Amino acid sequence: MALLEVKDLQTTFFTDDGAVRAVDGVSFSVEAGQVVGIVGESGCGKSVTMLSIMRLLSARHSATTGMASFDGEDLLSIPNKKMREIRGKQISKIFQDPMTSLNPVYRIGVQIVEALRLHDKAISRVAAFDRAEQMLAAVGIPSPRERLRSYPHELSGGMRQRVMIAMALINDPKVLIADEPTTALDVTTQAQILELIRKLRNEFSSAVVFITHDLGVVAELCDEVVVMYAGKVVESAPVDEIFENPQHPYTWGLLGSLPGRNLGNDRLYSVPGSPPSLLDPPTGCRFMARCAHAMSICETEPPLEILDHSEHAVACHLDPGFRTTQAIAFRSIANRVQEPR
Amino acid sequence: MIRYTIRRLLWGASVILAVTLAVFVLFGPVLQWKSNVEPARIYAGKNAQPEQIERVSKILGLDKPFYEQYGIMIRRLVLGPNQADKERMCPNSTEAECDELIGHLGQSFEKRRSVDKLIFSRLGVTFSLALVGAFIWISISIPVGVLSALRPRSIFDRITVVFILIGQSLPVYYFGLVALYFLAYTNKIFPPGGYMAFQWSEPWPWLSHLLLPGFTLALQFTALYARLVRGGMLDALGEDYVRTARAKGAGETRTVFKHAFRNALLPIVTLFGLDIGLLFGGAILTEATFGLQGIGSLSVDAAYRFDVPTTSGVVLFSAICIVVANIVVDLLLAVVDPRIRLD
Repeated sequence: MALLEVKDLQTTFFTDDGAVRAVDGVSFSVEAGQVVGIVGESGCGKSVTMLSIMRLLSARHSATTGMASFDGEDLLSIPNKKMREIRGKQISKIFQDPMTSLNPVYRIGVQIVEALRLHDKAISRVAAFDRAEQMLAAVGIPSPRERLRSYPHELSGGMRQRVMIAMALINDPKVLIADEPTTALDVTTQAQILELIRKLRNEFSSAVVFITHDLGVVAELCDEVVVMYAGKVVESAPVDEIFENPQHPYTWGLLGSLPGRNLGNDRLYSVPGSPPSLLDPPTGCRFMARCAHAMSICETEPPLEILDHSEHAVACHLDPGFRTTQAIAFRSIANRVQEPR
Repeated sequence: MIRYTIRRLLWGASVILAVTLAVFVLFGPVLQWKSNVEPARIYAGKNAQPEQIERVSKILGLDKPFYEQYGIMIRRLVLGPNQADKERMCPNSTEAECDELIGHLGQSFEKRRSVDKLIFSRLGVTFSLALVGAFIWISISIPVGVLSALRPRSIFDRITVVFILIGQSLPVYYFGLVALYFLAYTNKIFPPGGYMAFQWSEPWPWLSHLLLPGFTLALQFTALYARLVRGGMLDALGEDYVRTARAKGAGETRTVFKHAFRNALLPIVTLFGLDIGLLFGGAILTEATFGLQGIGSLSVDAAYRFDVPTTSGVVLFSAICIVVANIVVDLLLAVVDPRIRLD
């Protein structure tokens, strides 16, 4: 059985304009030690999916149904106390913006040690700080002993993200959720942080759920890919399959809009249109309005949802034979993307 | 930190210097040129003869050019009255008597007493009132603000918002009088006014005289602070680092108080220092309503009677209180908020 298994997850936000189902029937699974990428454009529900699983959304403003089993326990139904024991210990998270994710009034060391001591009451202060120092060294922060006494504002964005990573990994969690950890950083720092995550992934045995909209990162880092669109999973497959045999028109659009393919062209390709409003989602396929291959059935019938993740799965009405011919056209892109950069 | 402290102190001293200049201009040249209330005429009395007024002008040093008067004022403010001052103001008194008659802030026209001593005699009332009031408004507004931020739009929160509105719009003199009527007049729970000095052996008489005025004074502050704490907590609870704390596995109490509250407190500390500084300069309405002889009523009386040295003395004293409170707050903030120390 998978380490983390999500089935038919639905998250609804109660807004002044009505209920918004930001995540609508998402299923996927993460095996121990695996790196799973969740890909999709802004607002497709990839961050909300993981926040729902960790129960970090306000219960007053949202509701989550479905199943998210971790190590045999349903995260959505266990008591709060049990959930707190899992958070930060078994499942930990790195957030998008390191500039705001650390508390400005506490020293780095205090914040890292807090993560440790919340779950290990027996550890002494001195031992905890020694451990925090080791972690800072492991994430490549120079003179870690001194840095423990720094405040967040004294560190750069890249350094702060390293601190966040150290904090997330200090309890050697089984699952690390990285929610666009490089989006707020500049390009050179991005590469360093990705390299660090890749390195640490081998040292710590954590499975990683990597939320991103960057297919290049997916190609470098992930084993499995889940493509999300407007709150639903549209395609999921092992990483090679996504690049060599993409099956969903939205995935084609994502691959087509990678910068590498357009060398020589003036304009970067983008998927036309914008995602549907989730206040009043379309009855049929949610991607229909932007799909170049839409048929009449797409308007009335939603495609079958992806429930089984054992192999390449896609939620689309298109004829499999047609999709395969289209997929061939993208192989060249895959080759280009997967070249070492 | 030491450089920061020194900079704050220098800044405070220059603000006070600027205030002395403003006070001097307003109560010296402006008063003499732009109104018919010449200080010397007030000092000399209603039926004074011109030669008497002239003599008073000499005694008060008002015959000297303005720059010299200002110089004397600053020298006296810093060093106290010198021999020449004493000879002019109290020629036939002993040293101890003379201390009663003139101080750093000069001599009151009305009471013929040192303004220092006058202010000092009122300090107990004013400080007690400010501290009791501050204790009341802090101990009500912070829990109320935090609780309503934790449950926004709940019934408790809505009731709080209504009370905040009422508290902010009720005038002190109205609330004070109604409280006096019901709690001191029809039901004799509290004394109807006045002040008893604090004694360690028996603090109740002191406190009982201050509870009604304290509550009255605290009313508007409670409303304001509750609103600020509520807003600050709502903001802080929405911050990313609060989510980080939860993601680490921190419990709700720890998240709210250790992570959110400390950040929400920063603007409150600033405001509290300023308000306390302001109140040490006297709470005029509350003192008037409850017949408290504090610095507020001193300044009102002095202003009515054109007692120039007392009025300017109280203004200077209030300014010094605010500047000192500001410096204390700045130093305190630097301790609470590490981001401040660097710049």
